[in-house]
Amino acid sequence: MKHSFFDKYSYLDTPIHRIRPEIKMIFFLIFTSFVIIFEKKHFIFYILSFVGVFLISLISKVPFNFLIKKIITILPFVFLVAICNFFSKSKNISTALYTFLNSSLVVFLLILLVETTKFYELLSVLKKFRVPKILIILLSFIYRYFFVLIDEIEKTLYSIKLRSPKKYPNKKSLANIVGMLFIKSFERAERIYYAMIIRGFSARDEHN
Amino acid sequence: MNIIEVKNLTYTYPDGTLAVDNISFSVRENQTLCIIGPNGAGKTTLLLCLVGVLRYRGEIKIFGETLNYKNGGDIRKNIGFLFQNPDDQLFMPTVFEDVAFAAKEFKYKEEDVEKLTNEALKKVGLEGYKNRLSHHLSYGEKKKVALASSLVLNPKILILDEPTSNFDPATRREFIELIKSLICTKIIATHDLDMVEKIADSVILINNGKKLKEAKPSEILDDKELLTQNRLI
Repeated sequence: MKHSFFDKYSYLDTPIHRIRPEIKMIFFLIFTSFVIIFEKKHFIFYILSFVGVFLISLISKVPFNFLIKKIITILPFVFLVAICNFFSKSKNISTALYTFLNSSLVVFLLILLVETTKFYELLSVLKKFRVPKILIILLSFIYRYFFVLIDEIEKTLYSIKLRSPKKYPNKKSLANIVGMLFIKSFERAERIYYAMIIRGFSARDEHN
Repeated sequence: MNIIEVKNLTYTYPDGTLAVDNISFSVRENQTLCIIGPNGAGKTTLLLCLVGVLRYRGEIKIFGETLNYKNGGDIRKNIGFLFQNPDDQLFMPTVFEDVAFAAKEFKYKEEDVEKLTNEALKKVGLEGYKNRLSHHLSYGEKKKVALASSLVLNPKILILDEPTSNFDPATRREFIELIKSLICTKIIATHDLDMVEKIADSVILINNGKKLKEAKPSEILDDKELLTQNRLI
């Protein structure tokens, strides 16, 4: 099956795409650290930052509505963090608002980073930054098998639709689907592990 | 010269299912052995035992050395393994990373990794695919990349699990020719009898984990009754 890949714009050729991935990653890390350390910033900072995000998206040809769509899926979590912050800290609405703005800004930039850099280039940057190999392998697995998992879910849902008059499965079927997906994932993980061992992988080495 | 010797190989799954039941056979250098049998006969389990990833009972000797958990890694350096489903085998983001995986794991120098990977991709006719993403490829391409990843260290033994399953006729034909052109010892688990006829030097028929017959391809393929009994035709 063909999916809309989450890094589908990473193969474009624009000035932003051509910037070395190391530079993009360092900029992202510095900017994120700044946003986290200085929690409350002047409102102008946010206006300039969001204008910056818009300009980057314009130059990199990543459609702004695509960014908005992506952020909408993450927004509920960002909102939840802001609400938690509101109740756990000062019960001040401005703190919640700042948390919301800071998180949204970081997520916008993260999406732009992924959309303007090929995923394997990001992984090679992490490797250069001495991120443990086991973590990099784990990230590459998530990237590689996310689509396989979506395929499995789609196939299972089609199979239910073809044999059921209802549009969506009932709770019992849903529980069975989740159970079966878990078993399938477990079995596949085992086969992948065999494939890795056969090709010389040793988990012990990866921790060093 | 026998380069693989299997004696009384038995494997039982943790749930008690006897998947391989006291199987013995040997394989000569550059021989192509096909293991045929219906679905669930124990073919894949037998192949996984041969590379030492399952804890079997019995004895497996490869290059005269008894396979165990200490030397498994070294012995596997000379064995290429092709899984039935390429999605089980291709776990890195790009084709290059996937094909180069074994060379990197066995600590080859960077320039050698590059050279071996390019050669392996050339063998399967996929030069220029280096930077492609594995999950963007078609099934046939994935299977070829998986084969390249098995060939990267120029293995002396190649083990193939259902190599022609799910192919369209033309791709299947090309893939059989490709396998045929590789000079090494090959063990192929399949129920594609047409392929067996084309490339096998000898055939082992298994069912319910047991070895039922070992003979030349023509002897087994001409025995229609035996094939029918074992759900192969």
